[in-house]
Order: sequence, then C-alpha cells, then structure tokens
Amino acid sequence: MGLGPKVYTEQMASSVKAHEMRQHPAVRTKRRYSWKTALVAYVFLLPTLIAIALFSYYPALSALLGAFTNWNGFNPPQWVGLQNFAQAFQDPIFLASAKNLLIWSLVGLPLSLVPSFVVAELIFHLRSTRAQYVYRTVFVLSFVIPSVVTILIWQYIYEPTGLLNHLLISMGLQSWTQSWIADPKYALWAVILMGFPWVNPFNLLVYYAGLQSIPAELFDAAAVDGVSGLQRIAHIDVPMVLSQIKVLLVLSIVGVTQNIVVPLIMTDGGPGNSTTTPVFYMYEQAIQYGNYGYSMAIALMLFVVVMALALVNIKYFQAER
Amino acid sequence: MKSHGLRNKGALWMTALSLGLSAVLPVVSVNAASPPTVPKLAWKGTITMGAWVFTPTAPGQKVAPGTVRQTALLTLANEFEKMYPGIHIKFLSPNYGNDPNFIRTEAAAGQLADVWDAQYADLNSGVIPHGIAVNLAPYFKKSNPYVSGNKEWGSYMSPLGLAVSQAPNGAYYEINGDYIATAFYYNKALFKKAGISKPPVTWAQLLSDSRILKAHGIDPGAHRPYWSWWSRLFLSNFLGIPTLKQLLSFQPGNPSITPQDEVVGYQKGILNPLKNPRVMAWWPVVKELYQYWDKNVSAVPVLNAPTSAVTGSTLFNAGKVAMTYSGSWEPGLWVAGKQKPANLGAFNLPSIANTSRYATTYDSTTTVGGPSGGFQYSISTPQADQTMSQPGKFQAVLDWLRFMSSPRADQMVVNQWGVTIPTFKGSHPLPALRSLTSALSKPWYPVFGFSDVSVSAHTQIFKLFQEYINGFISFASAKQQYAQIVQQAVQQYSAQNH
Repeated sequence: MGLGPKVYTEQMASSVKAHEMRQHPAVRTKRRYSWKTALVAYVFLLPTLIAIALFSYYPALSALLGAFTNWNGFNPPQWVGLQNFAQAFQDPIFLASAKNLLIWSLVGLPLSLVPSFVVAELIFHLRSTRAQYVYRTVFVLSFVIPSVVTILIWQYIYEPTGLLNHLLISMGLQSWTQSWIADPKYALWAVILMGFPWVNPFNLLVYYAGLQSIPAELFDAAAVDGVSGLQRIAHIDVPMVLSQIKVLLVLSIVGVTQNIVVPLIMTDGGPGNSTTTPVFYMYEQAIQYGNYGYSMAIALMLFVVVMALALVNIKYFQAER
Repeated sequence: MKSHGLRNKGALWMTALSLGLSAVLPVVSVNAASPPTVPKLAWKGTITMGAWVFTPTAPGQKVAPGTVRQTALLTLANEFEKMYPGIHIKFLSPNYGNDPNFIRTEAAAGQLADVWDAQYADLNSGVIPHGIAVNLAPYFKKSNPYVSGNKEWGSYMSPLGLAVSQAPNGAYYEINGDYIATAFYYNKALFKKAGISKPPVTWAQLLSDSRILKAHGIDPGAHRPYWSWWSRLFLSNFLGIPTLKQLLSFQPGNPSITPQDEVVGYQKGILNPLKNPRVMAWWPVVKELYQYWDKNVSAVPVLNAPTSAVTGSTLFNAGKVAMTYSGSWEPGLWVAGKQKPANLGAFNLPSIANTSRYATTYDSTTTVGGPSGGFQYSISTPQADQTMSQPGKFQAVLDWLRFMSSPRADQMVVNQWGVTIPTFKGSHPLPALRSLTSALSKPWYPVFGFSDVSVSAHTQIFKLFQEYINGFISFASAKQQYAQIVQQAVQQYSAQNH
C-alpha cells in the first residue's frame, strides 16, 4: 500500500488551497483598484450600512443598555444597575430554562449536524448524477414548508390520540403510549426529537457543496489504494468539509439558543416550565409581563454566551490558518 | 334596533343557563335620551375608537352566521356628531384593543386610539402600564351632562363594576358597563343515548354522568383546566361565607374581593396554602372530573394555545363531546355550528356542597364571569396618543365617552350583542337575561387564588394547575410549588404597592 489517505488529504488540500488563493478575487483586485475607486464602492455600500446600523445594531445596543433598567415598555426606564442579572440567577424559572437549553443543545446539536451529513454523503456518492439531483431535490424541497406547519404536524403526531400513539398501539405497545407534549417527563424530549429524520435541508446543502469541492483526484487516489467507504469518510470527507461543519456548528448553536418558535407554538413553554428556554422566557417577560428590562438582561446573557462560542470558533479558524 | 338570530337564540339559552338565579333587579327608570343642555366643545376633528365586540358593522359587510350586525354605537355616534358638527367618530377594526401587547405597542409609538377597550385586570395589574389610560376618578365625581339630572357620572355605575375597576392606587382607568356569565352546556341527544334523562345537579352526579357517558363510548366532556374559573368556584366555596366576609372587610365598603384582599389574606394565613388546608383541598375534586373528560383538550396549553388547537367549544359544537363549560357567548356559536340548538341545553354549576369536608353551602356560581364583558372603555393619555395633546380634544373625547356611557346607551349597545347584561342603573337587560342581574346586587366573592395578583403568578399558577389536573405532578409537589409562586407574588405585590 502506498501513501495513506491522511497524507493524500494534506498534500492535495495544500495544493488546492494555493490554487484557490491565486484565484481569489481579493488577491487579483488588490493592486488594480485605486483608493478613489474603493471610495465609490464604500459610498454605494453606505445606504446598506446605515440601514444595518439603524435596524440591527441600534436595537441591539439599546437592549444592551436596557438590560440595566427597569422598563415596562412605555414609561421612562429606571436605572437599576445589575439588579436584573442578580434576579435572573435567583429566578428558578430562568435557571430551569437554562438547564432545558443545555439538554436541548447537547442532544439537539448532534441531531442537527449528523443526519444531514449522512444524507449528504449518501447522495453525493450515488453513481447516477440524475439520482443525485432527484434525491437532493426531494430533501431540499422540504425547505419551502414553513416551520409553523411542521410544528403543527408534529403537534398532531404527539397528541394523546395522535399518530405516534396510534402507531404504538398498532405495534402492540399500548403501555408505551403517553401524552407526549403534555407530560413534563417527556415534553422536552418530544420537542427536541421533533422533526425525525432530522435532515436539515440547509445543512444538507452546505455539506453537499463541501463534498463537491473536494478534488476528484483525492477520491481516485483513495480508490487506487483500496480505501473503504468508512475510511474515506473519516480521512477524506470529514477533514475536507471540516470548515463547513464548524460553520454549521456555530449556526446550530445560535439556532438552538434562539429557538423560540417550537416552545411558543407547541407547548407555551409547558407543561409547567418543562420546555421553557431562556429565549422563550425572555419573550414571555417582555411581551406577556411587560418586564422589558429583565427581558433585555436575559437577552444580553444569551448574547454573551453565543458571542463567546462564536469567538472560540473564530479563534480556532485563525489558528488553523 | 334590528333583531337578529343570536339575540333571540342566545336569549333563549340564557334563560336555561341562568336557572337557579333569582331575579332581584332593582328597577330604575331609563333616563331620557335627550339631555336638557349639553356643553359646548370648541375642538373639531376625528375621535378614534377601538370598540372591540361592539364595533359597528361596516355597511355592506356580511356577518357570519350567529354573529350580530352591530349598529348601536354607530347610532350613538351619529347623534353625537349631529350635536357637535365638525366632530367625527371613527370606529377602528373590531380587533383593535383588548390585547395588552397591542395596546402597549400602540401607546409606545404614541398612536393609540382615543378610546379603546381593555379588561380591568390588565389595566389594574400594570400589564397595560399606568400612564397609558387617563385616570377617570376625578370625572366620575362630576356630572354627566348627557344624562338628565345627573350629578355624578359614577353614581349610576354598578358598585361591582366600580369595585373591580379600581386600581390599587385608587385610580379608575376605565368605565365598566356590562356583566357576563358562564354555564355548563350539554348535548341532550348524547345524554339520552347514555340513558341520562336530565342534567346533573350535584358534583357527584356530574362525575357519575361522565362515567356513564364514557361507558357508552361517548366522550363525556371537554374543557381546558382554566384555573381562575375553578378557583373562583371552588376556593370561594371552600373558604365559606364567614371567611369571604373577613377577606372583604380588609377594604371596607368595597363589594368585591380584590388582589389586595388576597395579599392581606395570605399575610393573615387565611390564603396561605401551607397554613390553611382549605386553600388547596378542592384541587383533587376538580382533578377527578378531568379524569373522564377529553385529554386532548385538557392537555392543550391553557393560556397561549395554538390557534389550531382543539377546544371544548369546537368539540361540543361538532357533537363530539356531551358537555363543555363555557361563557354566555356559547349559544351564539350554536347557530353557526352543525348541531341543532334544540338538542343542546345548559345547566349551572352542580352543587359542590358535599365534595369535601371543607366544602360549604355557599353558591359560588356567579363568581365566574362578572363585570368583565366587552363594555370596558378607556381614554388615552397624550403620551399614549399624541393627538390627545391638541387643545380641547380631551374634553371632546371625554364627552363622547360620557355620551356613550349613559344608561340608555349602555342598554342599547350591550343588549344588541345579546351576550352580556348592561349594568348601569337605569338600563334594562334583555328579558331572558334578567335573572343574571341578581348577581349585581349581591356581594361578589370571587377568590382568584392569586392569579390576579401578578401576571407572572397568573401564568405560573395556570401552568401548575394544568400539570396537576392532568396527573403529571403529585398533590404534595403542586402544593409546594403553589406556595412558592404565591409567596413571590405577594412579595412582588407588596413591593409595588407599599
């Protein structure tokens, strides 16, 4: 046996990277445009930047300041310093919601990343390009279904007389039937595991694009050396789409942290507070209770957590370069 | 006023649901429609109003079966406009108002309507922040010039409506002019199929009827476990008249038990679940009913259910369950439903006198419902509605509110809807609803069990109660959690209203 797959990967990747760098638009245009030309570009970008600053950054900064106030959404806010944060750490509902988020993240993140990768692999390695196209389309078509519709379908599935219990009864497993989203013992798991077979069309596309960008020579060389399918995935596919995995990981963390739609529509954070997440609690405090200051403090804490994770990720990328 | 299906059919069924309530209506003559003199108004312009359920139906607009073509407020507006040329009353969408989030958002932008509808509990608890609605207390003490001979606007308002509308700081942020009721509804055909000849009159019969219906393959009933209805029915009963009177005495002269009374009651141990077993002794009693009733409905989140979620009302109107517990708006839905109204009936809360050793003979039926119908209107402050800073506009808006809140107007508007009864002295309810007025003349003993003390407690208690009712937590766990929620609510209330 000649060179191992890992060596192949490293050599080819280095070659591809160098080629990409030469072709990168930024490298090609750096010397061509003068500062005047760049200025024109910035002027054209200005309206967009102003809009982003006004509608994205200004509200975020307002929330940052609002986190230190007591504000009911109407009367002038009162500065309360760190009181909202102290309140959060003594608030049993907020603490329960943080625990729920932790469980959701630990289970939900692998569900968000792994099945989509598996399906992308299966489709990518189909021999027929037509079959690839068909399967890709079938999986991606679900993209157009609004998430609310999906949630409502799953609500029906989980009902006491819903599809899941009917299925269990038909299999002779009547004792297994439950009030899936009404029972606090099962509700969180029910909402986390919602969406079987957990193939996220966006993630699938990203993985698929990553797999497509792997040079064919790598697969040819691996085939010549008799590399098995699992070895190829482990030593070629995964390392080559690692950057996609990292990006999807960050996006998934953000997605799980900000996931308000499922508890809001399906369970109202209940039964009890068993499916309450920090972002749902934030919404509840602001919209239902009118405690905007406290709500913004929760938002700020979420922001810090997500930002910290993103910074870790960025640092990791930089170190790799 | 045009007659309509809802009014007639609703009236018919309200006769049934109000059985057991004796008519003790003090009859007061309706004031004359035309006042002798009216104030002069210098301001001219448009007054906007979100009238919610009383919003006049637009000309040419078709109304759904079972709903009413509303004209009364438009008639009143035309009269007012005729009196004051240059002033126009513009009615906004029926969906305008009655939603605290909507009101808060509109107010934050300074573009709230001049007059709008909100529930008193939202105004008093701070869910709708103070500063959005004008405090009408000073004006209640002045005459309403649109009611002949009137010396104090508040003098003809029902004491009950005034009591519940008063915020802890003494302010009145709204006028409150109607009263709503609730009842159990049943499907006569399904009862007959199960061999049951008449509706239950005791709680034990309600349970046994539910068992019989279930044994015959009929879904006995459906209802979301709505905490504050059950707490008012059972907690009020289990506390008993002497204790209720003691709670009432914490604010002398007030005919209703308020959140403040509950907080004092907690501090004195009367409403502390850890000190008084009566406070939670009724929970297992209610739980037993839900063991028979439809789990698909009792499991749906009570407060913020998805719009697609099944309700007791929809199942009942589709003939799929034999019973439901709902408001006096329910018969109006029958007109549009698949069931023949003749097959449907109503009965009051069966006697709960012997359900526990703590149960009393106090009839708590009227504690659910009450002065929380649709005729609850507020005026925006200039902060909430920038147009109110125009010189003279507030006086014009106030006069419109005075004009449309005379006993005559209250009667016109409320009776056209046919679901609630007008409560201003001098107004008359629809004949079929007259028996409900007896509740207005009695002290009102609704004990909300702290869900009215803070909105946070409201949400948490509703969720906790549902968990217990559906059998997911033990009584001991529920008791511990309830005590914790109540303690926090009391602390919060005391801190905000010290």
